[in-house]
Amino acid sequence: MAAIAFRGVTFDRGGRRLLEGADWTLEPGEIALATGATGAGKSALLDLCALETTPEAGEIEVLGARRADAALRRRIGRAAQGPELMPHMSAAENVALPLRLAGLAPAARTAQAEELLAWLGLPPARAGARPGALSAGERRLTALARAAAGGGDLILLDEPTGDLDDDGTEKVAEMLVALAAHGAAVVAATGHDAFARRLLRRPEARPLRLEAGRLVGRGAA
Amino acid sequence: MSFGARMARAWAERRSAPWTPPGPARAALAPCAAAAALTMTLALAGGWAAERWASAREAGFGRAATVVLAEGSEAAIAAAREVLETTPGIAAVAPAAPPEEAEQGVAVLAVTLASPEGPDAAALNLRLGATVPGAVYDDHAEWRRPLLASARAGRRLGWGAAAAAAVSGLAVAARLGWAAGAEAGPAAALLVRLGATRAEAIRRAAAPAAWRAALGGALGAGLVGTGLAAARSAGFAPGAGTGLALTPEGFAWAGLAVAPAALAGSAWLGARGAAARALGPAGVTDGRDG
Repeated sequence: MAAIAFRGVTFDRGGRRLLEGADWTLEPGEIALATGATGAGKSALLDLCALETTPEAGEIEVLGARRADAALRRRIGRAAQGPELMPHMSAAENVALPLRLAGLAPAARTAQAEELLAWLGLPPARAGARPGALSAGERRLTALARAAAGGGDLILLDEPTGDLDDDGTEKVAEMLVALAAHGAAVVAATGHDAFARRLLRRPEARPLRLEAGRLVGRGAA
Repeated sequence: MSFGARMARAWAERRSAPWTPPGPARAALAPCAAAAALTMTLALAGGWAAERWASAREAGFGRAATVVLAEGSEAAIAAAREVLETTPGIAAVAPAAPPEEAEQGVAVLAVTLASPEGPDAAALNLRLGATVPGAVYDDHAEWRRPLLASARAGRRLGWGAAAAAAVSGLAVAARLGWAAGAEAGPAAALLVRLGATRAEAIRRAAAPAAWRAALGGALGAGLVGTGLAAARSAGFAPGAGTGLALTPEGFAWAGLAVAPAALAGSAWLGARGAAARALGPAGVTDGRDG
């Protein structure tokens, strides 16, 4: 079963047609790197992939579901363009939020969150800091770690390397490859060429371009 | 999840950060609820005091009547008592001291009526006059009526003040709860995006507001209860000796807990409403066709 299946999807936003009868599938273990001009609809594509918005026409199936309910959302790890972090929680507590919702005990989820953050390059000392005390790059890493923490079957990332240096970008690319290797389907919308080039060297990654209402790339028709 | 499991989970999470961030409205809830509970509890105590005072007045004056005997001999008194005790609507008869300005030899009987309406005064006077010449039954309707009216007015005033304090306190709690729920709205929306159900996110957003209102309310009501109990122990309870003592009696003490519970409920409802509004219509956050 495909992780994401678009069938004849037409979608408008702000009076503009972003997709016109698009067909596209993404299998588990694959990484789709969505690129396109500013305003081409990359973020809207992620909203559609999360079933958070409804297309004008066509059908979208995500992880076998056509409705976005709590059960589906738990299977989706998502990081928006602006990191949406709880301001009163530490970075580790933010990362552990999906695990807390799943009922994991505090010690276990904190250990898991700190390990993930450390792997992404955020040391334990910084993992205890609140978002207000973190740099933009550290906040970005925190949001990405949270998207990965839930062990989701589908990972949706909007500009994941926006505030990151080369090392951070490399780590994020490694993380996405590792997630795909564990069977997750990944969609990353990016305008960061270096990140795209680096990731597209991997066999599991493939480009997905939004051009004049069409999706162009492997898996798209 | 069973109650025991919930408690165990709550204990395990006692050091975890709250689900939603604190904000100014949530912070204001505790002191405002304390002030509201203080006012509500005092007004409630005032309502009870007015109720006790009005009831005592009605019992004392509402059923009082007299019979004046021009001749105060033992035989006249016994005859009059017999007439009165066989009259329906009269509960008790007892000798009373005649007023100072009364002529010598006059006797007075204090009559307690079974109900404020009493027996037919004209008919009773006829029977009394036939048995004991010069005996006059007086139900004091002229001066009893304004006293009973004032008792009823006092009762209305007391309960009216309690109701006004309750309405204003609950309105403040609901409004602050609404503001606290609105503050927590974005966090609730994030919880939904991370996989919480809509009901769970609303509950997480509303619970802190309810707890703050309950704690503030308990503080305010506790202060009033402690103050009134201490004042009574020290012998200077407000209104003591006037029939209008503020100190609650009996089960009325338990009524002091009403204000914190009502304030918490009001804040909870307000916070739930605002959080639900922030999440949008139920269909949007609980699922929709793709």
